Amino acid sequence: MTTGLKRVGRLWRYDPGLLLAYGLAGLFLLVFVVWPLARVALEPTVADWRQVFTTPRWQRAAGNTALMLVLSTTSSLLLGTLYAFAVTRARVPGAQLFSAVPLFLLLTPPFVSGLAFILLLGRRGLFTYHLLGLETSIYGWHGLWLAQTLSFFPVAYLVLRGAFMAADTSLEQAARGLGAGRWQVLRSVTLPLVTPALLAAALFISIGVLGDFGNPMLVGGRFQVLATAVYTQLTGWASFGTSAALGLILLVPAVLLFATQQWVQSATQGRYATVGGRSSSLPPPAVAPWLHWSLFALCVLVTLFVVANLGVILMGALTRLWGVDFSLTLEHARYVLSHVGGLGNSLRFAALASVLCTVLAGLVAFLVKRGGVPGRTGLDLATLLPAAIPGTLMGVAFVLAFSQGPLRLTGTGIIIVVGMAVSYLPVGYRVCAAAIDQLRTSLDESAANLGASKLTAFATVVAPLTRQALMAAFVFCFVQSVGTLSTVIFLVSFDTPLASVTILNLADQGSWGRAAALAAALIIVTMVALALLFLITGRRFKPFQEFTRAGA
Amino acid sequence: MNSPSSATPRRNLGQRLARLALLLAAALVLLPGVALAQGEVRVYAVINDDDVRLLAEMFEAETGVRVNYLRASTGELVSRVIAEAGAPQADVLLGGPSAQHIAIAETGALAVFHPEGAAGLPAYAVSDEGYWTGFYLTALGIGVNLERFEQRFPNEELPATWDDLLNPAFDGEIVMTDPVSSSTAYLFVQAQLQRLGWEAGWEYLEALASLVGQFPASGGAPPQLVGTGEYAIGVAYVHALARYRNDGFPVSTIVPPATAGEVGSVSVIAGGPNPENARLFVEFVLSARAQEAFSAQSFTTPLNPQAALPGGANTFAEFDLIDYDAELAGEQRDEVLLLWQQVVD
Repeated sequence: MTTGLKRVGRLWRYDPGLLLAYGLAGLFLLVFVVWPLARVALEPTVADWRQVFTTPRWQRAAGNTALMLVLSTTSSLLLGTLYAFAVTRARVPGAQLFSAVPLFLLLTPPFVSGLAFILLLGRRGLFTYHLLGLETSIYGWHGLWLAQTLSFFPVAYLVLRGAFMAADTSLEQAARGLGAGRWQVLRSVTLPLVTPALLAAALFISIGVLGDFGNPMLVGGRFQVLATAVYTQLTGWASFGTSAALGLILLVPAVLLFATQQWVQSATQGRYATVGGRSSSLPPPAVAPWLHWSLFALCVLVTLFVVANLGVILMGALTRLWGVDFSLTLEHARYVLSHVGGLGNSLRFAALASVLCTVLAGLVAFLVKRGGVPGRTGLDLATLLPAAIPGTLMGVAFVLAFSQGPLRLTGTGIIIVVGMAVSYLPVGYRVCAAAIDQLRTSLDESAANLGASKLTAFATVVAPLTRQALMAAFVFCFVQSVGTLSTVIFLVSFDTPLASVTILNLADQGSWGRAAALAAALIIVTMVALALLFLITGRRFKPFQEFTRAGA
Repeated sequence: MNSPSSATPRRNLGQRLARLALLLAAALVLLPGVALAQGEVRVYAVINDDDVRLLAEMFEAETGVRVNYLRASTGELVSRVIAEAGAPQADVLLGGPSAQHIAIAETGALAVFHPEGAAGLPAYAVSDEGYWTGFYLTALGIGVNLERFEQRFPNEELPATWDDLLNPAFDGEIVMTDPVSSSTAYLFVQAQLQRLGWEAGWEYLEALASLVGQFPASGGAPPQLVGTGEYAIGVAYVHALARYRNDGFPVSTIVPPATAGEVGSVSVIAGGPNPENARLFVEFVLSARAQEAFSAQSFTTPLNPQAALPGGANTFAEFDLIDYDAELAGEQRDEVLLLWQQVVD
């Protein structure tokens, strides 16, 4: 404590700018992460807790949640890894093209892809019924499993692709040269090289599965999970107590997973180096022909699904009535024009949230890694904490924490921007922290020797050198924020409508054409915004590779 | 990934980033916040987006007062009105069953207002204390996707009563909302308990639940799932089903005898920012012209006796309503839901 105070005192004298930044970042985390969580924890009464624990439905829902957590996380991870392996290592034909495909799924708001999923694979789905003549039902745990796998595998792909690309191929070539079989190389060289990335992806995905309420609501059928209950307790019965209690139960496995991942990561630190040296220019060793072609088939299948997914949304937007009247119309497209405000808000808030998220992520990463400030562990934990909070619980917590008193922010755009930024802060922070770890300390030390304050060193040396990571954090936050629903659904108000919430409303009341048109518009506008960003920053920008480091 | 060759364009990139930041800052300053119009009314709307938009456009054209609305589910808006009681954001709560308005009134969040338009309304559609007024009527009904029904059950008759739903052939083909998450479905459960009595009511519900293929959380889901032919039979509000029928889906709507209804109500929120415009808006919603237009699009039954009944909506005569005891329903809620969960799973 005293040394901490001494350090603060020293900072005050030599680097007040850094101290100010430290104070602001700490205050932000205290107000927008710690306080809402504390507030939501106080909400449920004893009766609420008793109800939550004694209601048979929720006990079963808890079991179901655990089942989906295991199933969907494993399958998403497997699919993402195989897909990443296919496009980076197996070098399947068309790998260049295939490598971009899963990113389109990230651009599709989750609720919309659930809708497209039913239109394609439902009881009257385009594939299942109209093409194959099947009378199958997707409603239930199996349908949910498929839907969640397809929703979450792009995250695994993103992390693993970078890891595979960064892993040194010469190690594998050397192992092959020394007589190791293909499997042996895969098992003892390639997989260990990407293990940290696998762990990181597993964490991102499992938290996502825990908090996912769109997919279970649409395709779960009679199979219920806790995340849906958090949402419906609030929307159906206006019961903050039980909603908060159920959300807090979700927090338990999330925190455990998070702690496990941190522990495994620190226990294995240094054993596997994914980005140790310069990547070799050697091509990776060839894979067995059967594997090569199976992976190719997998890529084709996934691509077909993604194309169908986007196609269904476009078709729904341009046809009069899905499944009944397929004649073309511009009626829905015209309707979108009356929702320009919501679209603009979605983009504007997401962009502002991404700026906030990126600045904060970079700053905290610098403070923790190089700042020499006291309380770094607390800062680190508070920044990573939102990663363990399911989106719905975060939404409830924000409503509870910022509805009254001096911190009343409900009804403003600020609360939405902050909600978005906080949700994606952990990923951004990880990416930035990993990038700073890669920088030699000598660089910012020389800046300090030349008389620069730490804050100046950050702005002029560290930030420019880690700009790829900062941009990666920005793009990730932007893409996810534009389509997010769970955190913001309770935060929108009169002057702050969001396209994603309107899409849910329209789909809920059965106006599928309009919902699809607005969803298509949202996806297109997001793509245009990203394209502009890439144009402004130049072609050198490769944000997705930065996710490699985040896992390392 | 930072190759040394990228060192040269760094400043260039820095400038570009600075420009981008400037642009974003400009966007922050220039774009946000619709300037608060002089004449405005803020409406929390439970009714469909299209429907509130229609009413808003009519009201704006008539009075010049801008309608700013937020559409969300009943539960969400009810909880907002209650939570915001200290500093209300909205002036009017538009739609939702009278039972919900009564519940809000008990917390003191609603203003007393006796609109002139309430004069000709039936007693059950007007709050004695002046907290809320009904503007439409709808009832629970059965929706059937004729295409799917004929294909699956070529030898069965269309269900005409609540008891017809218990046909074992319908196993897995019925969809209804979950009462644990939806007030619409709770109305259905209570209606059966009150129609048949406690014992027989539970027997009925147990038998029905075993045939239900899915209990979605949202009240909007059953009409949608029936309309698109995912399920053959659904329990929902008739006006929601009629909307799909009118859109061209092969849906038949059936109003079984001894059903329960909802009086869709409107109320003025206490201490809202625009109290005068709020009262003006409520009077407008109760007017015959507004109810005709609203009914023509929503297929609800207008409560204003002067409003003509458009095609597609049900008439009063078609509703055979039980004498629903809303007070009892409220008292039994926890007990019924607990029993329901044991019955269903």
